[in-house]
Amino acid sequence: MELPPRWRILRDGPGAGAWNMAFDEALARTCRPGEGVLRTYAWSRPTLSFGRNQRARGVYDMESGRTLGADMVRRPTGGREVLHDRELTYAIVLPLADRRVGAARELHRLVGGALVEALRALGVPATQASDGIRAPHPDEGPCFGMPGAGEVEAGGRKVVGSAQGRFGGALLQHGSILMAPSTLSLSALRAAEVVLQEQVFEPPSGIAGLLGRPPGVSEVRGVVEAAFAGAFGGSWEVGQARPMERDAAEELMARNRSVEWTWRR
Amino acid sequence: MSEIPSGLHYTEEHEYLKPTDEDDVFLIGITDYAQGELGDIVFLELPSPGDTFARMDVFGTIEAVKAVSDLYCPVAGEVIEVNQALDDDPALVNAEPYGEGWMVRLRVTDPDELEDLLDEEGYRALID
Repeated sequence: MELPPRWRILRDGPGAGAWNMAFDEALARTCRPGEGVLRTYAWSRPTLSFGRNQRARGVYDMESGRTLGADMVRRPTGGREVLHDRELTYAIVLPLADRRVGAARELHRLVGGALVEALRALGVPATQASDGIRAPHPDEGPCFGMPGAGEVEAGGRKVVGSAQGRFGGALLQHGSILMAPSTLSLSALRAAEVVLQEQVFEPPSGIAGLLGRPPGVSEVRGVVEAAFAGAFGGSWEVGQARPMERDAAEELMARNRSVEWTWRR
Repeated sequence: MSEIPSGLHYTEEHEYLKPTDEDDVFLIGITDYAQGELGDIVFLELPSPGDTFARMDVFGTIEAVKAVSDLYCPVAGEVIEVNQALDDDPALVNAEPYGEGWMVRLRVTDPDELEDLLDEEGYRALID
């Protein structure tokens, strides 16, 4: 995979779920040749994101989200549901220099390796899951319930959950670096009939549980940026969002806020 | 080594068009190379019979190992059948990309567009 020579770092604060997903997708849809982007951000309130193709209708309950103060959004990327709360989220976008199909898997492994380095720099004994794991169906349960090939684990549990999408000539990978368990439980957001059928999902304790202290956002952001720069090479600079990126994200907001999109399956 | 059968048309987006017994009707799927590079295919979103597409319109999406990608219609046409077996078993695309893993049966609007596609040798040169 040919990597871009220039990288722009975007440091965003907490945002609404629909905006966070719109902005990640907009970065991919407006991606320029020769420049990659690493964005890190957080969530203004607990948000359950569904994978692009997973079933949400009849599995989760829209009303329980409203009652408990949680947003529900649909990601433009694949995979299974993630409850975003006490985490730092990364998004990496890069232009594809050719039409090779395997770039997505190469990026996944490269990002996984960078995240392992970042977490080790914090003192978390992270490893990458082996390649022999079959990819789960998007309806097979929470993203943090089981590791996939190349994903990042520590203490026997997944600590980063990631997903990808290809948008024309660009690849987007974003994922949750779990700092601490959410204040909400996934089961509280489930549709009543599903709660009765499934086993209780025990959320992983995240970095805080592994370190024995809550990590600071700037501390995690710092090691993540350093590890990505080391893994991807090229020149890295902190920058700002461009007007065309914000405009593209605004255009995606109507879809991202709609029931038709969020509850499409 | 990826399988590239002769007698099919190929695209730079790693799709194939396989002739059927009916004139101007082709089966569309992704190539053996593409399925191998994508990895375990877990979900396909495909159009409905009767849907029409212009050349390079997005006609569906494919999800493999948590990566979602668009599927592009290689030539203009009308979908006349969708492979329902992929609903229950998307891994057929991995197992038999040119056989039971076909995605849609397309009636081509303008057969002249086929001339712009790659043959077996052209596609081999693309992926080598």
